[in-house]
Amino acid sequence: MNFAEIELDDDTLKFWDDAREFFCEHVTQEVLDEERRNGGGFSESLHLALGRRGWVAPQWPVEDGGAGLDAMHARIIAMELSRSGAPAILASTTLLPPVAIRMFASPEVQGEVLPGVADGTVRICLGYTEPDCGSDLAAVRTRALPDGDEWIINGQKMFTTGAQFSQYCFLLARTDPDAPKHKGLTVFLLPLDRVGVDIRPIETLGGERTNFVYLQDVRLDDRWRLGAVNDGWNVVSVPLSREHGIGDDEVDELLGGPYLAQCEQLLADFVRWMSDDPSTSFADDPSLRERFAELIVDVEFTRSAAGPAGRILSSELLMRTASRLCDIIGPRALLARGVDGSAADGAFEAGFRFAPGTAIYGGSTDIARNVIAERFLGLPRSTPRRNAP
Amino acid sequence: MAGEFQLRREDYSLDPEQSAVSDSFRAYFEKSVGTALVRKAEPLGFDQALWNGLRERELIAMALPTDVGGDGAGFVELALVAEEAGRHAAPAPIVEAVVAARALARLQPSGQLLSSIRGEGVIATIAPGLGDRRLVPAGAVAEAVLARRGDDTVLITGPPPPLAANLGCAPLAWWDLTDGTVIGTADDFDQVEREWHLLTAAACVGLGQAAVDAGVRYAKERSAFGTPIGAFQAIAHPLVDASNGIDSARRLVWRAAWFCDHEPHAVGALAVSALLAAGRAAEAAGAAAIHTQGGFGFTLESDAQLFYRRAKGWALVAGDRRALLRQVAELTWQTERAVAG
Repeated sequence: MNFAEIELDDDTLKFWDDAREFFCEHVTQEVLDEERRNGGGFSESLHLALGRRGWVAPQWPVEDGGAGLDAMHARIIAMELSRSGAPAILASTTLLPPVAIRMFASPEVQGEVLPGVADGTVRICLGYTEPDCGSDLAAVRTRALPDGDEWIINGQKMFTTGAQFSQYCFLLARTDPDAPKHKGLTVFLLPLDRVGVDIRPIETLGGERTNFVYLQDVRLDDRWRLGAVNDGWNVVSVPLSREHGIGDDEVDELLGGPYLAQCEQLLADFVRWMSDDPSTSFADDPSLRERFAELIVDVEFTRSAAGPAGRILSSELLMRTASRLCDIIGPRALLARGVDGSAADGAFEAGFRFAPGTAIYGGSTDIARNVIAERFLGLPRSTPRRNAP
Repeated sequence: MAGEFQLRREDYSLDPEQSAVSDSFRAYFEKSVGTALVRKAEPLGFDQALWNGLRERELIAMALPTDVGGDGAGFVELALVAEEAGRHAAPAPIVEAVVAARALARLQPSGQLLSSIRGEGVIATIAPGLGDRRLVPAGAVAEAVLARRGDDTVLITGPPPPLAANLGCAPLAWWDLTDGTVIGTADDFDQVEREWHLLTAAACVGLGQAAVDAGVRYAKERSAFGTPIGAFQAIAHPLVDASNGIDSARRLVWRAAWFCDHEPHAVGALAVSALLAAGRAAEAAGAAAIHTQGGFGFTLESDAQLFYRRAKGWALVAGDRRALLRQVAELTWQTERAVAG
């Protein structure tokens, strides 16, 4: 057990200082405003700047276009990125498929795609979910039919976040409709500039924009197939387990869960608002102090969570925190950004809308509960096992 | 935090020595404290034979610093012991006795009381809160009480008053604290209280874990509608939430314990937060276990109720939740302000 401060040498401190300066320079007010307006989850100028430094994939070796950084330096970049408030959803999904691309794609395809991922010119969105299947991914209906050396793809994907800024979609499609559900799937890396690909926006409660991706008679060379035909379930498993926070080597990064930082941000907004607001006195109001402390205790508790538990707890903490802060502040918390008298310039109004989505995307909290029930508590499986022999 | 160039390790693993302490006490409580003993010791919540056994294991000496001849166990180790005691709802005032003995080792190292504690198994305890007359944890079995009074830490001795029967079957009693000897300043009591908060939190984690285990076991064994009930998400998910809560509370206790050992000046609100979080998590685990067991869970035959009652009872003896929360607010507001900028 050890929670000691890590002694940072001068080079590391300089690196940190440099990283902070980098984000100050590239995460401009304009970048933040653009994200608030359109919620794309991506800034191309920032992403390309990251790529020039090898910071899109900071832990990849330098010869692969990364920065060859160790985990600690990568953590510093991640912390500064988070601190800057920059949109980063697509930057994080882009890094999931390369694991599978390295394992399953031909050297040519790897050479065509991966350097671009590293330098920021290539972004990859995740084509898993469809209108009729979300958590139950094996129910995918988008169809890929062989045609000589090509495939013809028809169907539609949904919640394909970042597709409008992406060059590729990591696509899960059905290649054998007669096989048991998990066994008739194949993964393709679909270049999004193909004829027949149509990207349409979906607006969300949290202000993020995501997409429908309609696929109509899209022709794709077989070289874009990843892994064997009908072996797609294994191919997606690698990035999926990462997305769900249950990979073996990811534990440290997920301490406290993915949404803890956003809770801390809301709390900081609250503290700043309280300190500046002459009509409320923290010192004179014991009930206010108690309610504030409930949130602090909740945050420390959640900070201690690990793995899939952190994913659940941090998402629920965010919902609870946003709601309670609105309650404490009152009507001014409801006012939107830019409105006269809005508390913390609309941060609580936005936070309240944003929070529920975190319990759904990237695998819902209920799926995480199923995983914990089966793997950690040893309870019997709750969902039907379709591939039972 | 975000403003500084500072990184901390986040290593929650136990070293072999810590694991050995945990394993050894787990085996000991497993062997010596069955739920039959827990029930037999009610309503007082004290079993003399168990206390004698713990004395033979030199529990108090283990917790005392080396400069008074103890083993100087760290807080992580003590938290592990308290958790194992909680896991078996052990009817023995381990947390109070350990914390009071450690306080005496600091404030009255050559006093008669400390040697009676070590030699004769006398129990000393501590009184949280304010006022002349207080509800004292382990007060019904203790012959000495340490308390904060005004600007002082005082020591009151006397025969234990009668049990004040209570929800958690803890040996609570009302003590009159007006007639004490000053043995330290009020500030000295801060550390006493912090240690007590932390170890009580650890005991609550143990209670909660026992409740989770009881619930999970039942969900695997009991069938309804032709399937083990654990296959129903309405049963499984609350157990998952209970288990997540206990795991996180445990890790919070460990982190707070590590800071008590290594950076006591930086503990801040961690110990009291650990108590608030662990008490709540343990209570939720108890409720989940009872509900999982359905009608059986509501009978006195079920062990789940043993843990459920103690989860509330042990956590709340520390003082009302509101007072503890105000303490958290006072300890954190300035830091949060600095962070918020």
